[in-house]
Amino acid sequence: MSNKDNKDNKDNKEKKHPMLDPTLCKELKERHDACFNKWYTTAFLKGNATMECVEEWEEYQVCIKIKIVQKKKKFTPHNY
Amino acid sequence: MPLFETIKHTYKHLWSDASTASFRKYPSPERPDILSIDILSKEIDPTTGVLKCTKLIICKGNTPSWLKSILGSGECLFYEETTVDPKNKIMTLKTKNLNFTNILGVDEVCTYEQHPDNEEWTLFTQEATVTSSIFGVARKMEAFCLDRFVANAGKGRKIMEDTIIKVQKEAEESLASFDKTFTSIKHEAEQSFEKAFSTAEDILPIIKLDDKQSQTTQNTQSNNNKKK
Repeated sequence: MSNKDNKDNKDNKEKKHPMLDPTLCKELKERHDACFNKWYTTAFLKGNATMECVEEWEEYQVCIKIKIVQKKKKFTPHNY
Repeated sequence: MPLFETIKHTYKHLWSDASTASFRKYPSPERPDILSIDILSKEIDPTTGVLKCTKLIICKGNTPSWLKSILGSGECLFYEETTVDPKNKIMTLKTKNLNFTNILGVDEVCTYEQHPDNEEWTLFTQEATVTSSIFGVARKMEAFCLDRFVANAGKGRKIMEDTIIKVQKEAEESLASFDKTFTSIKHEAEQSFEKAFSTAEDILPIIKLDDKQSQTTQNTQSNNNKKK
């Protein structure tokens, strides 16, 4: 096995799923919340009942699903 | 036997501003114990136009030493269901704890509604029910939770007031920005119109002259035809 292959393997191991990066999730949450808040004030409260921010919501939801899985692991008692 | 507590408060602000602020009040330096609030789902009922959101709230468990031995010092998880009825101007938030449920049950219902006496105000009602089933310390635990609830409610009111003012300020700035843009567009349009008008005034005599010349030519031709 060459040094290059070793390096590639190492890189793959170190590369996390982008949604597991808490700073990225924070950005996605802020992006969604900003869009949601704007929609709530300028559209929803004025009688427009059409959901917006679909793209932001879908990106942010990936983070939420991961967060919930982590919390479930943390709070589920282990069977010894 | 569960313990109950009800708090009422009037925000001298419009319901729309108060309900907007409710979505935006956290994170806040006043409540560092609230670590995160995430929206899990959101939907609008097509028949009623009511918005329903569910949220996951994670708090730091800053409990006293006697309670740490029972609950531990981990995070507290809460599930919140928010419904907003924009037609009737009622916002309801129902919150319950997700962990330590076998030891302690905390249920909270908050409502923001247009004040019955003044439609420019918002009436806020907050009700909490605390139930503990731990023999011997149940009463002490319930009393502690209600004391904490009252203390946090006070902080919550301050956070809401600050957030409402922030929301109003943003709305004013947005309106001012719109006015500025509109005025600028209007000014540009007026300038363009004036420019076009002055150009037309310059061109008009030439066009009229051309018209006269072509008219003269036409008349000459028709006269020639008549002579023939």
